[in-house]
Amino acid sequence: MSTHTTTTTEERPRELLQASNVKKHFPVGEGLFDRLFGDDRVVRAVDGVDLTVHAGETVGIVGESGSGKSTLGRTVSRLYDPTDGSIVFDNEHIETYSGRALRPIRRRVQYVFQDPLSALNPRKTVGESVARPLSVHDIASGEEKWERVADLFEEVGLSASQMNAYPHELSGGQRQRVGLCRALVTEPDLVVFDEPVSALDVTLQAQILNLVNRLQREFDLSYLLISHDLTVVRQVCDRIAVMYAGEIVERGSARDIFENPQHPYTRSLLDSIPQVGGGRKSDREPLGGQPPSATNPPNGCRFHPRCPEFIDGRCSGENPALQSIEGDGPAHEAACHWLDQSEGERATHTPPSRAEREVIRESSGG
Amino acid sequence: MSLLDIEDLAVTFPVEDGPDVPAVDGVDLQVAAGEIHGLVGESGSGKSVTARSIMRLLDGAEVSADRFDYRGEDLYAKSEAEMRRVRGDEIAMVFQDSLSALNPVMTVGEQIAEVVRHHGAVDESAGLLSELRRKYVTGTSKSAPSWRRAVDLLETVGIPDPEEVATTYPHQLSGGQRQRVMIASALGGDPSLIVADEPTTALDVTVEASILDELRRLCDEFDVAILLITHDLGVVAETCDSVTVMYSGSVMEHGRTDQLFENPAHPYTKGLLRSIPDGTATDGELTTIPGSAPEPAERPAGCPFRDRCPAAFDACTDPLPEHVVDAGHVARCHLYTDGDDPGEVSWETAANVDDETNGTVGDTETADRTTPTEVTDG
Repeated sequence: MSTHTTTTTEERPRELLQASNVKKHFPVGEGLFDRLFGDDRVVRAVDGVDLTVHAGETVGIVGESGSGKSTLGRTVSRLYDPTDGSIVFDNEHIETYSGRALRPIRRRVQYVFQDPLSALNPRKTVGESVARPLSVHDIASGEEKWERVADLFEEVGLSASQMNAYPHELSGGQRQRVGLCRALVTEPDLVVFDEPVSALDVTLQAQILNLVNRLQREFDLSYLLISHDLTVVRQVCDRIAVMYAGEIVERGSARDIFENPQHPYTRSLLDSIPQVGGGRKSDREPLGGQPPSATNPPNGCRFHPRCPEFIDGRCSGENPALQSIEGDGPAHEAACHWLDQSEGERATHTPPSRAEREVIRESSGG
Repeated sequence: MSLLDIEDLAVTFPVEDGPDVPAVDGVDLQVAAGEIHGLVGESGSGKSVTARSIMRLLDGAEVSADRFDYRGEDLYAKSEAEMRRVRGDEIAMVFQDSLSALNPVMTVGEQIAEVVRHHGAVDESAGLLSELRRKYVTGTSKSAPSWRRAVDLLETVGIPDPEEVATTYPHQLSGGQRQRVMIASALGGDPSLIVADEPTTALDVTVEASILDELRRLCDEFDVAILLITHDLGVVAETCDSVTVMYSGSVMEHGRTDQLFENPAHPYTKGLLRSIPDGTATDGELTTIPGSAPEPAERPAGCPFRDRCPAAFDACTDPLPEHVVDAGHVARCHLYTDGDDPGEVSWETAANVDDETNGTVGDTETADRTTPTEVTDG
């Protein structure tokens, strides 16, 4: 997948998916009582996100649990209805589509879930599960249908005889290969992976990631990969977006993010990765606190209650917009007030101590 | 003398109509007082079974060992009553899934206070009647020594506002906080050894980092030894003093963390280290170990890794040898039996086969195995 890095910067390839200002809010109370007595609070799972996936590239979305990364993936692939914003897939506005109009989109955008055991029907053989979309979308039937499924099984490293197995009879790695088969059987253009290897051992992770890489080259696929595992994302993604509390706080090429991270949150994430060969990091200050409430996010920058670079008066007042990073090309952007500070201001800035930040955190309700 | 000294442990689960399942076979494990010892392996390697055997929590399993000593006393010679004192007082356990390990209908303060009373850490009755009265009528008094101790413990493990948190129920806390509560509860009996089974696996990387720092600090401050079970070599490299690598029920290699990471000797350890994505493989291809671990019942004789090992040869069908690589660093591999260093094991051959044949990419327990058996130097 990294082979595409060069093409994305030189000749801008076609935009396959373009989402702008996408929002997805979930109502907190949906019962009759709440409707009558007006609990109109909402969980702002995704709150104004722009995201573009070019043809043939892999875009990664990283963030902690609760950052909204899975909701974003499900919204842009139209498993959820967006609350606001536009989603353009292959020059077609799909944000308002529903029912029948979505069917061709369903075929072209496929989703691979983290837990294939709960995503596969336990009472159907895995072959039947994989073949089903072919009938649903009228792609193939009869002999041809089963031939296609058998070919695909062999393509992902399963044997055709395993089509007759039930999900519980397969190992975790094999089930994830079946999950891949089911996504690929409709010959999609875009595949969204939601934590595809989180449940697997490291040697199996590497096998599946290699397979996913090879399939992209063979079938000319675009990927959107959602993961909390930065090492996985770094390995397979061309571009990365870092999410925090429903917003993108930094994005850029995989190289920009890992070698020149700008947002304090991205830096803390990178510092937190346990590494082989780095030795024991005793001087690292772990990121304190917790992600903010999604119903009542803090004012200003949503990261300010936990931020080690917190600038008093500024960060708690105004939410920073994404801005380009000088010297790194237009693709690298971060949303942080720290970037506006001059060299002098940065040198004299004394960020609040942990104790002081605790106080700020308390008072801002984050 | 090691705090915990296990030699040649075997754990077998009898199956009613079928062959017995030998989950663990021939495991040696030594944990010294006050150290963090990592026990790494993939799922199914027997690391959790080994951990549970230390607490004697394996119902219905047949456990045998040449030696199973804790502070020089055989744990398996103890009566159930004596064992109950060992659990908590001497050895405590922290589980991966804190939500199912904590009682959902008791406040976390009550749960820790109960542990404190039961292990006699405070002068307060833990008799059946007084416990029942506490449980159903009064609750633990906020001024009782056991409650004070519970709040102190919560503070010790880095929970802000411990007084408040002690009165909450597990579901009200985040995953990271719950895991801290588990650790506080483990500390309640003032143990000398904490067995932590994947304590950070379900957590975000930022939270994981702070919990690992906490374990490190507790180990240094309270002089408690920790047996850290994990599948993550990064966690081991950053947290552990020494490490034991398990594969398919057997120990493959053990040694000090620096020895093992700088100079891994067993092909499995080498393969495991190479499977970690480190961002250096610019062609997008990760090196991996083809295939997957055998089912316990289908384990080959001799080295259990030999079917996946690129360096396997005739001798690998013999029982595992012990090769001392360095003081305290042992690799159980036949490559070293004639005394020569076999040089670099080539993983490339295996990886390429994996990619190009694409029909038999590992992971298929039933797949036919045509693993190349070449050793290339350099």
